[in-house]
This record gives sequence, structure tokens and C-alpha cells, in this order.
Amino acid sequence: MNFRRLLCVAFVAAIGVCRAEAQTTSAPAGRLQVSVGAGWLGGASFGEQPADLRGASGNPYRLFESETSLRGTGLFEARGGFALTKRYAIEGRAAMSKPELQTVVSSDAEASGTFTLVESLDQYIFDGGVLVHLDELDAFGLKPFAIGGFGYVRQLHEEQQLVETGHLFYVGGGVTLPLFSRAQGFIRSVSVRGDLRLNVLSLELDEDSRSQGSASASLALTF
Amino acid sequence: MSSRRLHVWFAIAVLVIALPGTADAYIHLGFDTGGQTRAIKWTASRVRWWANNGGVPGVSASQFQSEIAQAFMTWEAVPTASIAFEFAGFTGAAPFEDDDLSVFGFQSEPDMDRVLGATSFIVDVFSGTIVESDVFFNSIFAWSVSATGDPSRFDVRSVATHEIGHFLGLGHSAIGETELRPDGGRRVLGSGAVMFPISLGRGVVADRVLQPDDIAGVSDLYPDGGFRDDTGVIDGRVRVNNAPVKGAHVVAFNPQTGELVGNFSVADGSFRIAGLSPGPYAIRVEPIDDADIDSFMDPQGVNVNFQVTFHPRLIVAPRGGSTASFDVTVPAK
Repeated sequence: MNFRRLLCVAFVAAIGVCRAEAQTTSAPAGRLQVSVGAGWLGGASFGEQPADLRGASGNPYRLFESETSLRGTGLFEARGGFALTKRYAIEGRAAMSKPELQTVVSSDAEASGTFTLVESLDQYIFDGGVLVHLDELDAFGLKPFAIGGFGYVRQLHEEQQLVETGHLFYVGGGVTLPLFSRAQGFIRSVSVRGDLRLNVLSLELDEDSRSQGSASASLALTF
Repeated sequence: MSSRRLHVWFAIAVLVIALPGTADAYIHLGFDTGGQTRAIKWTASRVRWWANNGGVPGVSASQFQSEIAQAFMTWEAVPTASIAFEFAGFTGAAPFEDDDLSVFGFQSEPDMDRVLGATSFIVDVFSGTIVESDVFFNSIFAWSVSATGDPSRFDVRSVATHEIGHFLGLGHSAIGETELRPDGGRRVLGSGAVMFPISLGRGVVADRVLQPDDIAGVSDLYPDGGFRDDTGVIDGRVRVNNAPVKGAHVVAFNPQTGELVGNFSVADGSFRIAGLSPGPYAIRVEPIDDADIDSFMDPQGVNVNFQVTFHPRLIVAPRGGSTASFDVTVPAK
């Protein structure tokens, strides 16, 4: 039994079927696909911001320096898609993560050393877009695809003191590894899906947009 | 002066080069009555003021009036505050006379050789309402109305902007850094508020422009419609060795905008910083060490024996509310 069959057994034993013939991940038009998975949401830099006072000479007097970033963290996601054609599908996704906002203060005029200040966020993303199957580029049994879309971001600051909302655009791509498919039955196919995305977020309290990469893997079922 | 009126001098004003002085972000001026501290403020929506009809070398009476009017407009233009002013005319009355006229004018005070200007009040002791407030500019110094500043003179409008902050009921801000001079005075290294008590010096016009700390202070005292709903308050306590710290200078720093707004802790260690844009803030706590303590508050019980530190958590100012109180523990010196 090869590795792909092993995976197939692991993932679909619960539903009692496992056939590895005529495998495909491009769902026939009109089929629904759902997936759940986990991954890693990359960090994002907010840049440096000095605490400057006005100096008598006209040059600022620096009280201290600061650098703020959003730390990378794990994410959980659930996705639903609908195949419009064999090549194109639309899909929506909900993702949850708990990144840490971190500000590092240094070079204080009156205190030595650095200070690391943190805050936990609950971040929810609801997005939707288009998936394009690129089956003609498949290799080693992996079926590539490209994605792009937009969505809504909701961040809850620590102790829910503040809710920050905004929007995002994303582009990315990935591959699917077909594990099982069949022409009939409630579940038509099972596959493992890997995604790499670049999210560009704009939140209401941020002056600038910021980019976050993410990587995730999920188990996809086509009905 | 009627029996219910109290004449209060806040001769702290702007100190020139030598005297220590600082004040917290935007402490509100007040007085003790019946064991309670009552903040003072104007209750009229439009406050009338007069200009003394005397000038000094380099500054005519009309130039002086024009600069004061510009300084008033600076405060009036704060979008989150609702206070307006009206020039009532020139007068022969001098500042600090109990005449129901709020007068701005030059006055020679050789004994106050480190004081550029000062503000006095007559207040209703029951309501805290300001009845009259006068501002004097010490004519022993050379003054200028030059738009870019005169290196050998002090800028009338900068000092006026500071004094009008007092005129409105604001105390000194401590957002600034100074260093000791050999003669025992202090030199300003940096100032983060117009209400910082020590002048940036001759020829500097930077204090014509309000800073976030000044804007938060006047908006908190005279809030415009949406101010309370659109901004947040950070509440906390400063403690050292599990005891409250009085007189700690607490500054909220917005790491996205660089804005600094501060206040002082009181006897039970609690502090309150209002008028903050919603979002996360770094909290920096320092002892009062850039001026005499009495520039800001009653020195009795003020603790300066701790080290500058930052609270390890970013504190989020909510929109239209206050944070839950939290403790900032500072290390003792």
C-alpha cells in the first residue's frame, strides 16, 4: 500500500469507503465541497514609531523608540465551495486565530534595556473568492490551483475592550492531493488540500494596509 | 470680592530657563473645599476677554491683541472641545485686578525674574465656575511677534497659548525632559505639550501648536458632542512594593501614531488618562524628576523613589468607555 493509500485509509475509514480509482479533485459542476483544516498565520510588521518630543533646536528629542508587530500564530479554518464548472469554483472561508500584538520599546532616555509589551487578539476572517483549477499543471499526483478574493476581518482586543473591523484582499494558490473519488454516493471524493495565501488587511484603526502570509492544510470532502 | 469668590493665583505659568517646573499631562486646576478638590472651568459658552492698551518695545498694543486672539483661536479650533472666546476690547485695567474683566497685558515684575507669564483666577467656590481670569506677561523680558521667532526674544503667541491653557483650567503637563544647569536651573531637552511648564526658549515658536496631550486635556474639560463617545479612558493604579504611589507620571503612548497623553497618580495610586483614540497603548511610568513637584501638585506624600518602567501589557483604550483598572508595578530605586 503506497503512502497515498495510507492517507486515504486514515481519512476516510470513518465513512467506510476507499477507492482510489479515477481520482480527481476538480469537482464536477454543481458539486459542493467542504473542508476543515489548520495552519499558520504569519506575522505582520507595523513598523517603527518613535516617541519624539519637540526640541528647542527644532530637532526632535527622542524619548524612546518602539517597534510593533503582529506575531505569527496557528489558525483554524473551515471552507465551503461550489463548482461552477470543472475549472472554476467559488468558495467561502471562515478562519480563526489568536495572534499576539507586540511592541518592543528601546533606547528610553531614562531607562536602560528593552521592554516587550504584548496583547492578545482574537482575529476572525470571513472571506470569499474564486478558485481556478490548474489540472493541466499537475505533477506527482498533485493538482494545483489558484485563488483570489476579498473578505471581512474582525479583531477583538484583549478583554474585548475594543472591536476592530476591516477588509482584506487575498491571492494565493495551492495543491490538492486526491485520496479517493467515486462516480456515485453521498461523498464523491476526498482530498487533502494545501494553501499558501497572501492577505492584505486594512483595519479601521490602521493608517496603512499590512500583509500577512498564511499556510494551511485541510481535508476536503466533495458531495 | 464677594464672600463666595476666591482669588487663586497659579503663578507657575511658564518658567524661563532656570526654574524647575513640570506638570502632568493635563491635570485640571482646582482648589480644595470641604475636603474635596473641585476643578475649575468656565461655564459660559463664549468667554469675553480684554487686552490692556499698553505695549512693550517691539510689540504694540494692537500686535499684542492680535497675537492673543490667534492663541485663543488655536484652542477654539480644537474640534473635540466646545469653548469659544470673544475679544471685548482694549482697556486701561491691568491684569490681576478684581474688576470682573479678564485682562491680558504686560506688567513689569522684576521679582519674578524667571517667570514669563502667569494666570490668576477668581472662582465661585461653590460651583468651581471661573468668574474672572487675568494673564500677565512679564515685561522685564524682551518679546516678539515674529512669525518665525526672534532668537533674542520670547514669542508672545507661544506663551499666550500656554497661559490660555491655564485660563481654561488646565494645569501643567509633565510630558517633557529637562536637564539641570550649573546654576541650578533646568534646560528643556524636549517638550511634548504646550502645557509643559518650562519654555523652549527665546526665538522658539513651537508652542503655537497644540499637542495631543493639550487637546486631550481641553477636550476632557470642555467635551464636544462626540468626544466622550469617540475616545476612551485608561484607568489604573501605580504601586511599588505593594503600596500605592502618589505623583507618578503615567503616559499613554500610541505605537501607531506616536501620540503621548499623560496624567498623574493620586494618593491611592490611581490614575486616569482620558481623550485617547481607541486602540492599544504602551504605558510608561516615571517619577516627577524634570521639575519641582509643586509645579504639579501638593508635594506631600509624592513618591519619586522608583524607576522608570513600562507596563508589560499593551492596554487597549476602548471607544466611548474606560478600561478595567489594572495595576502597574514599578521597581523601587
